[in-house]
Amino acid sequence: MSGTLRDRVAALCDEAADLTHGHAAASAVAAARARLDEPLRVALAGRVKAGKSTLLNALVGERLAPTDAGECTKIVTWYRRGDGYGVVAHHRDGTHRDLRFSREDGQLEVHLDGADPSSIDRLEVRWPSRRLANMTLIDTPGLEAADEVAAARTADLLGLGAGAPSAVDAVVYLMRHLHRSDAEFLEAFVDRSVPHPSPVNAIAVLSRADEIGAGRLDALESAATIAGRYASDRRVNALCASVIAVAGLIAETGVTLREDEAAEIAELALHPATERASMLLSVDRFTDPRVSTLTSAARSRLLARLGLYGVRTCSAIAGDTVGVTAAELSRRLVELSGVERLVALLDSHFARRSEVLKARSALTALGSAAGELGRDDASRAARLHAAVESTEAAAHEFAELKLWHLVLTGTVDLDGSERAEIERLTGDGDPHEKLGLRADASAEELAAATVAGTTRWRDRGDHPMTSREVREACEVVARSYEGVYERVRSGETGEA
Amino acid sequence: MTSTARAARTAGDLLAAAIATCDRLGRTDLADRLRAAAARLANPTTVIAVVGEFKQGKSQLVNALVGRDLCPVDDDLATVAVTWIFHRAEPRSRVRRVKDGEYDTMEVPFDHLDEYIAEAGNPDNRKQVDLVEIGLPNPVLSRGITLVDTPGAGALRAGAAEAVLGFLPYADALLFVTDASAPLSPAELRFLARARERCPAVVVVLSKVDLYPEWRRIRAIDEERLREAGLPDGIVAVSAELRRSAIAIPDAKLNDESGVPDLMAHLRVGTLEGAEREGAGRALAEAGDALEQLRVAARARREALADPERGRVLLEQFETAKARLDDLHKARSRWTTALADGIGDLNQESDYRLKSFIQRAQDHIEHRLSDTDPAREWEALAAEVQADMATAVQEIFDNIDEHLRGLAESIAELLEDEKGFEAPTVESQEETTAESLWAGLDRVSESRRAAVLSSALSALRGTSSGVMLLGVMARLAGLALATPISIGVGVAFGAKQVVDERKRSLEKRRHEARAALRGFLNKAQIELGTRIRQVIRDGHRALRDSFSHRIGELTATVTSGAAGIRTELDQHEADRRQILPVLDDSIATLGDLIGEVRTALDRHEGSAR
Repeated sequence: MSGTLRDRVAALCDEAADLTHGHAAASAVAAARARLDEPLRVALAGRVKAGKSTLLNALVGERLAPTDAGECTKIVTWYRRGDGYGVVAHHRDGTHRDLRFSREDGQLEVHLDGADPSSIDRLEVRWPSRRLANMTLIDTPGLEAADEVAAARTADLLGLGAGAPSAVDAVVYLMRHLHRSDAEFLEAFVDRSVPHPSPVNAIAVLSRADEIGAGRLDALESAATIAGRYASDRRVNALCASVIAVAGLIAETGVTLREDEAAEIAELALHPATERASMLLSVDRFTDPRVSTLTSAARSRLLARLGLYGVRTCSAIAGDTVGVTAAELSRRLVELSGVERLVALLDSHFARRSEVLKARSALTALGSAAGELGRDDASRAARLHAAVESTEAAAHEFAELKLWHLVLTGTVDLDGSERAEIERLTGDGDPHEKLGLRADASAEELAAATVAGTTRWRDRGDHPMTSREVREACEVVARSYEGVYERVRSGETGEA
Repeated sequence: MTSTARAARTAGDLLAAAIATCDRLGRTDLADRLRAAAARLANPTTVIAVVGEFKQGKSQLVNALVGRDLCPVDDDLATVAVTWIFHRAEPRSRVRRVKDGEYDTMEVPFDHLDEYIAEAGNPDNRKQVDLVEIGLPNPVLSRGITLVDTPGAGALRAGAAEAVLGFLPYADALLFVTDASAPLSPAELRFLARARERCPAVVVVLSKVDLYPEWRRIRAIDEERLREAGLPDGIVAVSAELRRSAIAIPDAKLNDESGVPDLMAHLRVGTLEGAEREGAGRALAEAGDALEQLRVAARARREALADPERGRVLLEQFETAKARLDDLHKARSRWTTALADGIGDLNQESDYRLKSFIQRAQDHIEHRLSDTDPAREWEALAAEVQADMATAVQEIFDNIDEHLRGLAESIAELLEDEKGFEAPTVESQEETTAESLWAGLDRVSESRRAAVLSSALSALRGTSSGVMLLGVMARLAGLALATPISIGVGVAFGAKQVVDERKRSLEKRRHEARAALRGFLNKAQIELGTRIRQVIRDGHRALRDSFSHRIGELTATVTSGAAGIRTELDQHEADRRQILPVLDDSIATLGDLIGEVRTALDRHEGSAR
């Protein structure tokens, strides 16, 4: 056992390539191998109209995914980091072709040019966005879409269909407001039961948060409270690591707000407060041609961009701040929307574990390839299975991931500081990050910390009152400290 | 003024005239029945159920319709109890709970209702609330609307959806609430299609249109989807928020913008008028029946006056009839025995159905657990058990309903066989007089069975198991099927565990799953058993009271007829000649009134068609 986890899994993939040579399973193996060096794949999943595309745009910072009132995401679409701009349709029959696209008002429009959407397996949008460097984001039609083909594609992608492993490494579930005592809470939450839900690669977003409190000015606080309640629910913990409220539309518009829009908002703010309140009672009132000097077309555009909550909030901000700029409004909107917290969570939760999550996906794919191979060649399949299992068993990273799963689901019951310690220790990073020490900590300090950690956890595990689960967890943590110790001793201090 | 309102007014006037006549002739028992009918006519009950997915704004809509914040509305927490809201001159709010298998109804002040209705005060309906009723003076409800706010906990999921569907035959209309944030989902459309089979008056309400700029497009998509599903595509757009502001300011224009007046107009045309027509028909039929009874007694007197010989024959017949009716009154008469037997059978059958369902469910669980890992299948398994349970409950209650109706019919038939409803018949030499005497009564006799049956059935409606069913389902939904802890954990990594351990934990998971499901079934069985007995007991009481009441009326008719005959037989010849024209007059007056009632009834039935 040597090298990084990625190298070991890559070696396993090469071995698998030999074993499946000339067999149909070879392509799955090649795909698994290629995935190791790609950014982490994160899917946005949830019901129809949960706000997946809007949130995707907010995360990328550009209006790439189409959003409107109907169900508009009909095709699974991958958004990848590219050197240039391009849109490719991958067809069901394995062929692919480039599609024309244009941008109108900042909104990307893809032209299918007569192609039948149901013949397309997925679209791939390549965009030179910094935000896509660490993660490939995947937008999905809702799982309960009226269009059954689209719903089935989503299910396939997430590995909910028959057999095939998931094509994604991690999932962000978007849920609208659900109910605690709903007996099918969880089912509704993940729509259909995901075969292997685990909080290690899933987080949840209470989306369209601005609509929860009927668009009142305190809507987002109300939404945050609700998200907090979900997050502390055991049943939710079994599925995802955290729940946060995000107002996707506010975030999307926040990152893409233009000066002319800010000027229009400033014009709205010129109305006296009572007039504004009456105008903002309903969307129909707001777009009534007679109520303002600002054209009703402009008001409709603002409404589409911000929603009633957004317009209420912005006009309140503009009313308090004379000569408000787009930059100022932008900052306030992004701050309000909660998207920054989501970005931070994506980073701490997914990006810091991307190596092991990708490796996990690769091993699952190899296991599935072995199954496929087994239909024709039992002995080679057995060898592949054995290789996968031994790689997996030998990798302490998987033991850590499993531990993290048990901690997140609450099976291994630890206190807050212990959880934080494990999260830090088992994430990707340099020794000092894992140990929670300063970047300039000396090798001696690092080594001392690892020894102390190992001892502390072994002692905790040896306590006669400790349950079996916790005892096993303690052993994993102790070994993780030993692993860091080895890295420190081999000269890696983290200063580099 | 619409034609229905005119018909109802006529019906009301006729009923008042009939009541006065009954009182004048000393038949307070008939007068009381007609007074009750008049009260129902003046205050018809139209039950409107408000249904929809979780958090679509059902309670807000109810509040908007009533114009008052009755049902608690919260961004987060939802309604847990079924709430009935109706017009009542003296405000009163009550909470009905189940305690040791019996109902416990207590008054709760308005401002404390939250503690029972909303989740915050009553998480998972731990207080076992089955029904909350709010009666208050309210102009919107004064036309007899009863609004039923259903629990918000995802009304369309298996159990609750079945409950609402089971209740719908008892509702006069259904308001289906869907908000303007997204088009109708396939699940919503499926529910609507099933709902419409049970309650044709479905109104789709698009809520929260103040908030969603694209609501018109959503409405267009919804209409398209309704058409595709073969459902009526009328949708009423409503903003409860605007209605609230409109009332608070107050501002009539804003009120119009809220769409609530439109919805009320829609309900008026589609639902209220139909219910009012039906109510008027029932009341007129009752008036006709009571008046015929008066006429029979009057005619018997007249016959005795005109021809003492015939009078004596009639007297004998009336007394025979009275003896027969008295027999029916006895505690162990054939019909009460038959009714008690029928109820006994029903109790046994329902019990058997419940037990065999529980047995089937347990077998199913065993079978499923033997070849699945609950960790993978728990969700599906729990959903199956709950859906099966909901279906079984609905079947049991449907069966009880059907059985009670059948029982009402067979008792009516039995009474007819025993000639319980028949007034005496006369072998008459004087054809014309005999005909004129019995023509009316024959008509009564013909329709008597139907009339008695109809009042028995409406008595059943009052205890309707649909109402009960809704309460049962709401409470069953409260019997949470908690996910066993070991399930859903370690699954993602389960495949990599050592075989032995995998097996051990699989056994553990199965054991926990079995225990959780069994616990659920046990609780459900106790809960259901109690409710089933309660429904049957209520039905029994309603049928018994209704039938014995009608027998009592007939007894009074026959008794007063016999007394009248006796009085007239004792009259002196001179008095007879004086009384005869007076009696003829009063019979003619009665005949006129009866004629008027029949015409109104015919016209009414004509317009109903």
